[in-house]
Amino acid sequence: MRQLVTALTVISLCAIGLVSRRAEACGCFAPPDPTVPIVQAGERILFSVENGVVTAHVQIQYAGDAADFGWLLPLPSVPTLSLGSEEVFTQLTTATQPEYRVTQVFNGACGGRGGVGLANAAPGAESGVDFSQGGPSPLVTQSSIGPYDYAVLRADSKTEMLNWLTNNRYFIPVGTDESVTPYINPGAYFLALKLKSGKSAGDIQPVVLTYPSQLPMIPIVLTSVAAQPNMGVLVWMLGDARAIPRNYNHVIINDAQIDWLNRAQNYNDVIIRAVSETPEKHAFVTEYAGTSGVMATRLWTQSRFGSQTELASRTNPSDFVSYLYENGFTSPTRNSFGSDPLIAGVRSIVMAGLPAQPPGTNEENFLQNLRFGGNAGVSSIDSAALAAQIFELVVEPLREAQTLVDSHPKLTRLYTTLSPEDMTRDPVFSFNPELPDVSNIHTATQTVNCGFLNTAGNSPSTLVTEQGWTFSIPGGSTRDLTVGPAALRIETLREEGGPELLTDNTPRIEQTQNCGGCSAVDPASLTLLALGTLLLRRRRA
Amino acid sequence: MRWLTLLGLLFCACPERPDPPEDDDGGVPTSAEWPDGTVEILNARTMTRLTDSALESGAQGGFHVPIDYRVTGKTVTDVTFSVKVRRASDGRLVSRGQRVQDIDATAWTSGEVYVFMCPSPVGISVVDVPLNFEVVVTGAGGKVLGIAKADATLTCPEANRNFCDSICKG
Repeated sequence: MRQLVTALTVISLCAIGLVSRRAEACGCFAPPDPTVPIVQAGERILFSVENGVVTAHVQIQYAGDAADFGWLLPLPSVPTLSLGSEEVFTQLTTATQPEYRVTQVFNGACGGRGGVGLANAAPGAESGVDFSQGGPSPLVTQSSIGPYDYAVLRADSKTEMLNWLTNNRYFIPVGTDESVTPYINPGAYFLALKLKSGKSAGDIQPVVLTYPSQLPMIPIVLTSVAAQPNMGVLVWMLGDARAIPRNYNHVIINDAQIDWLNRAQNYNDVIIRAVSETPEKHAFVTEYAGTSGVMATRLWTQSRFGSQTELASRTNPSDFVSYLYENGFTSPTRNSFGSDPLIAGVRSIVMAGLPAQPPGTNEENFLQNLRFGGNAGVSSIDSAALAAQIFELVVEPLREAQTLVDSHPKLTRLYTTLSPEDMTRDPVFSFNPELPDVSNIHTATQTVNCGFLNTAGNSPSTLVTEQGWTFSIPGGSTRDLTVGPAALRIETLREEGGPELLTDNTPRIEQTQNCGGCSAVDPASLTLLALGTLLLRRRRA
Repeated sequence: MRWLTLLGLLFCACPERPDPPEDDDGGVPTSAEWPDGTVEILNARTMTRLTDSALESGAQGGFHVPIDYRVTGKTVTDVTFSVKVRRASDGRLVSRGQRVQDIDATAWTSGEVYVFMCPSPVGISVVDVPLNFEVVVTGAGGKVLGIAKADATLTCPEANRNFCDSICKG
């Protein structure tokens, strides 16, 4: 039974639980040894749809030998290809990240204060393939952009395309022959990327693809040949309305299973369990749906980044690096110096323009030292060339991305996890203007009943979640977070109208949560319960 | 009583599908500035009025039906073509799209418009069933200029029927 808690004394908002996941890559990686499956850790894509044209920002994250990098993506037409920026994904993640906050209310005076902090990322995986130039057929076009050489291949014939990939030392993982079949048809294409000679894995940056299509789709079936279990798929959609999964179900998680008091560290586990409870394990969670204004000015403004001419004029290495730190070329993630680090792409360009540093050098620390006049041995810098690269490869993509974001009023963030055996259907995304917004901020209230000499950490408390589930937590104990279903509701979202309910687990959750105090167990409580039961039986006897 | 309980469990175990939406006109306006026939929905391959057609393989393994809009006798800039496709049997919306174009000739066609059909919405088949196509043309301020309708049953292409059936039948 849900209960409302009346706050007697509100002290402070003392905790923010921030959940983040690192998810990398998209498309299909092909490994050198076809018997060794590549473990692709995740998908991260920003889609926008306008006038029958899809624009996709695809994040590629890879750490390994540059010669081993290769990337394959099916497309419906010859795409327009340009460079993106990691900063787009950094800012999108920050602006729309699910946050689980706990408001603490203290009854009495506790000797200390508890709290929760930030939870962090899941690891990724790296993989790649050797990719060389080869014969022309079924080659449509090949060129270079930024750090990449790329080729667009006709997908009219699977045999011809796979032969071309094989002949060009693009090894095909076991299973690709079958999984690539749905994407083989007249008029279809594949995009293949490799790093240019002389480029390193650190030069990899997102790519932006533009192609005619009414709705965006992720070729997840193709990904199944080289994906890790419970791979995260994170999608942002820009449009005029809230985005929905068209051919996947929708799930709302049971927030009673969130570890509110421990930084919501189990958030991804709850997602995995909730998705596994849905039909075919095909469902997305909406983590945010609302105004795209949360991204306003995050990527580019007229006054950010200063001027290329001014930057180029800083021929002294310290002055050059200082200009970067002082003129918006940083990303808001505090480093050990207490300042924001340089945007990843900027850092890579600058480091490539300096004398090679010893292996293991912390690039950010090195540049901070250079900024303040340290690092003897770096006496000169080609400031004009570096400035040109920074503005071409970082600033301009950010300006274009900001324009894209600002031209669409709505932003939606959708997330799911899929294991290879469940990657049987490519998710497609559409819109429904009738659905309400979804906040990424979630708040629970913990009322701490301080006792004499108790601290907040060992005082009994009552936690009421955002969904209204109430737990009595004896001081110092923990509760079982896996009791009952992880999904509160499973529903289908259509392109018009409200959600269609498939499963409402509210009664089951109520039953498993029992009453206040029954879900948290500690030995002392068990002992008292046993004694009480024994006394009751003796009296009845 | 045990068999009664078992029957009850069997009935309870079947998840209920929600009722389909009530029949309505799908929100399509009934009046427009232009006379009937000013706007037409064509099959983009034959350039004749849209009728029963085969789907075509499209975006990344999906299927679409290519249509074309024809507007006769009007020239207007910055008009919006909003298309909706519904199942005739229950009015279920199975596809919607929108594009903005300039009508710059009195005998004007839009060029190919790919109406996304498959993968179909969850639990809904879009092939081998009668469909209603409706396009509403609006101008400045949302003023309805023209309306066009067409009925068609779409089928999977023989070349990849099995795969098409797997993603077009819900």
